[in-house]
Amino acid sequence: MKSLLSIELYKIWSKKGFLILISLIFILNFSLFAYTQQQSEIPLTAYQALQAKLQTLPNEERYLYICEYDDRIQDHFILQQLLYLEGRQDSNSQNRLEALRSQHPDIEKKTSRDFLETAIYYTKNLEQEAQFMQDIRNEIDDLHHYHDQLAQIQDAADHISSISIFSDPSSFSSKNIKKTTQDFKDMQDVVITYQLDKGIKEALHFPFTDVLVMLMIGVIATALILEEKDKRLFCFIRPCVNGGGKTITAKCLAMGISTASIVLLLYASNLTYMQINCGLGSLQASLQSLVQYAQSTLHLSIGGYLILFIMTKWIAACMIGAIMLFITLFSKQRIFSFGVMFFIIGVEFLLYQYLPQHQAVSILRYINIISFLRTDVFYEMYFNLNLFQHAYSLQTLAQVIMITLFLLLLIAIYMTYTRKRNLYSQPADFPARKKKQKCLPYLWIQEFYKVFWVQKGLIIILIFIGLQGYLLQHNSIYISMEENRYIHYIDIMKGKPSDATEQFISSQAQHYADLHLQYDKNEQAFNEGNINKSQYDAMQNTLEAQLFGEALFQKALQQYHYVKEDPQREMVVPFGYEHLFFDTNINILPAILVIICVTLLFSNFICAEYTHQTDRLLFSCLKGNRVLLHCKMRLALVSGLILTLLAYLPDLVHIVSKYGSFGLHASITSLPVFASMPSSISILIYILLGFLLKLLAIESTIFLLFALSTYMRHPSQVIFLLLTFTAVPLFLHMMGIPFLDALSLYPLLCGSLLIKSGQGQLIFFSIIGYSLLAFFCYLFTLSHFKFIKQNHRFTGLCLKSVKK
Amino acid sequence: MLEIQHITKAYKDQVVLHDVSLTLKEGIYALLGPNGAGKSTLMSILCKQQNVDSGQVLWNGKDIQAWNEDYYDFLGYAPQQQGLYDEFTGRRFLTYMALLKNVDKKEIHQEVERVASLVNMQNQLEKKCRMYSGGMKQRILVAQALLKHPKLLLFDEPTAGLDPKERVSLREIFSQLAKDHILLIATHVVSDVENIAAKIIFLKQGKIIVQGSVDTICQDSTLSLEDVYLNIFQKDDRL
Repeated sequence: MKSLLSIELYKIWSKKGFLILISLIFILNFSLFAYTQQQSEIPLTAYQALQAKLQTLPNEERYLYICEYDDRIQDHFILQQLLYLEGRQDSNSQNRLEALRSQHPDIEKKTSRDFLETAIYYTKNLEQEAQFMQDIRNEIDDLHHYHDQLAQIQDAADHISSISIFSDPSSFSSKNIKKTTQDFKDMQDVVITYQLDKGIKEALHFPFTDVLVMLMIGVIATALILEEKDKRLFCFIRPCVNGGGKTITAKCLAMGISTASIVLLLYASNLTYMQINCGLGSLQASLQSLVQYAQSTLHLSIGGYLILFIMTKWIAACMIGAIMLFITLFSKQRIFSFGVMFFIIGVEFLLYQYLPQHQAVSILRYINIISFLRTDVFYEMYFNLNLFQHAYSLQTLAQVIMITLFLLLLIAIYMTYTRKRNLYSQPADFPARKKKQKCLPYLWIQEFYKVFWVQKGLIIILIFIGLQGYLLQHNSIYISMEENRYIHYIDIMKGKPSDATEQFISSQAQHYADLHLQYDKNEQAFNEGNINKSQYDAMQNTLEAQLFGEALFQKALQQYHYVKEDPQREMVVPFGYEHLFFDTNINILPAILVIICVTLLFSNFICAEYTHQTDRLLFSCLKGNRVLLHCKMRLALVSGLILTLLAYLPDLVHIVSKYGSFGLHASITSLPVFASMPSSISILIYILLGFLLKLLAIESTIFLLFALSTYMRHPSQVIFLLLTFTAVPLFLHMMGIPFLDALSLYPLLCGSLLIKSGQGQLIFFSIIGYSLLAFFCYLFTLSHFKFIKQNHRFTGLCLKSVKK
Repeated sequence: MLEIQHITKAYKDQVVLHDVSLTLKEGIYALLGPNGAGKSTLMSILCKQQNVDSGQVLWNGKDIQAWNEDYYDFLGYAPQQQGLYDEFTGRRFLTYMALLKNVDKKEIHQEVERVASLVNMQNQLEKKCRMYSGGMKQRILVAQALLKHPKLLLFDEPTAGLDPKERVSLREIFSQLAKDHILLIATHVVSDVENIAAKIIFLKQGKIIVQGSVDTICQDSTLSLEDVYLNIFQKDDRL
């Protein structure tokens, strides 16, 4: 049995395609998870710093620390809002100001203004800090009141059981109340450790990981059963002594081991990422110390729960794998297997999504593969199910039923494999169309059909679009209060310097000078004893409120003076452009996605001609060499262009919709970072040039792909080499390892960052280098795409045997 | 006229073709030899899919390397049985091949119908290639070789996978084409060519060891062509 199992495992894990797919899925999961985490409004570093701070404090002091710090932050945030509103003259602001003052009458007396600049520990600005601390406070409050809530549940249970309709001891309601009371009574001895649940919560709640696990299960089931059915291997495997029960048992075990490895790999990567960037807290603490699981009645430590989580996920994945194996054994056609599998998953999803939570039918909602796959949600709730008027814990009942079903499925697989007569698949025998189909006589249409329909490129495009949509949805741009104020000044001073602008500047400068003068006078009056302390405070507070915008005005003025130096320059809001030019997530991640998409789309475009030996046919045709190659290249290059547009355009639209589009026609030198650029280039042209550089990166990758395909003639080798050369260095950069930047596509994708750091010449070298690479790849492909793949080894062997 | 003049081809240290010379005019030429004799290599050299180490191939007196891609206008080639584009229907496959052979777009439809009916596949064109039997695949391969009326037809194992009825039908097609075409058929099935070939060429270890008409080769009337074949190659088979 051991050797059979090792052979089945070898079948799966020795395939280059499988290893490449698993690497791709790992990279995709990791990068998407990292990207999603980076897009959250509160940076992970805030959680990490607070988690570290909490670790240094004794458990009982942690709650106090958070409460005190949160109180201070909230007070200062309100004060900042007051100051901001005082600086504005419109009636709306004044109304809000009044409302805030009436809600917090003492706020100005008790809060020190110095705090504004110095004491923000965890985030970049006060607004973010206040939001962050508010969330943490809510979380920690829930933990603090955990035992009170247990007592409340006890009281509520006593109260409900005293009501006559719940007093029948044989009814489900009565048993449910008793069980609930007992379950929560057992939780009295749980010790709550105050810590943040962000790390664990995010790592375990990433639905995309489950989608990838399901995809890999499909691949494993295909490798174990479908491929052997397609090749009709079972007709001679099954009659062997160990070809029956032992073989299918080995296959099931191989599926279980492979599934466990994949689940472990993907979730371990999520957990590791969160441990490094956010911290997971103490794994010895009770599960209820994570506020998400405060309702759970599991007596487990967090570490123990992680093991239970992985085990449950694994069982759910194995369940899907077992269903897949069963269907593939049963069905004659591959398409039927996948169709039924999608149908089952779809029905399970609909049941999970739309069945009500607390009714008789809800058992179908919880005893469900999707419910099991959403393991964190499954374990965080407390719910008793009514089974023959007895109250059973949802988790226990679901686990028993699912494991029983899983075992029954395994038995069904065993029986089907050992008893079914015809264990082979056949192509779907659709009746031939009677009507003559018209084939459009254009070469590019036939090539388009090949790559997008025959080689399933359309699915890759759909996945790409789905991912883009997902990234866009999670790509939030936060405009702070300071940015808003700054935009307000720029809005007045925008365009080229004019008399009206000069007037506005001098009036504002005068306004602030008057305020300072008044401030000094007040101070002098207070020192001389002309006014008392409370009068002094009230007057100075009003003045400080008006002085709040001075720093931002000075910044805007600085920009104005910079703009005045050159008549080509204009006042523009820099924030949107800074995002667009310097944010690596906006510049690199879409490129990685496009490269992966293009690689998967076209890696088999040339290779398939060799592997299917159609090269012999093509190369004997008039247009089978150069013309065909150019047609394929044009198709790939146009696809590259469309994908690049799809990748970058949404971000541009998103930024423009957030910050507005004014200043697009201004000179690029209007942004001080680009002062050294020629002033004749407008921002719009600069954006277009940036896009062209990105396009060069993608198109040169396509040329390289063609050259590798013609040389290697094997898609998995092409994918591996191409991604190693193009995507991996970019991925390393995102991980903070920049040593391959100069050689990689980075200068083409993030040229603005290099200009900013004074390394603009690297862009020039990259343009030359990658253009030359593309050109030589083109020449290489052209000169090699005319010779057939010759089976030298076969001919050599034949000749040797003849000579002997 | 196709002239093969002293061509030699080697893969590293293995000589696959050694000083092969032939002259082909209208008619059927059968290239007989076991696996690894060099038949397919010779075919791919004639298709310009491989270069020769020495010697040259002349088409109408001009080296095929000097013909550039115009040479393919005269060439129809059906390689050994192989995977086609499985998801293509027969019609799409022939249309695609017609496009590659530069058939006028307006005439593609009629040309596809013509070659399909020549190999008796006109009623199977809407089926996908993966649904075809081995024989049907072979016939569709022959059909694509006939697109655009090429003068030189090269068939590599054209009867592999065909049932007896289909073999006879294909032989008849070849006989008809022989009137104004040059047909070179590589095979190791002697019976496919002995009644139709004007000239038989035996290829062994990359060398032409016997060539001539069936009558010339079988001078001793007691021996059939198959007996001659077995006499030449039986030692290798025993090994």
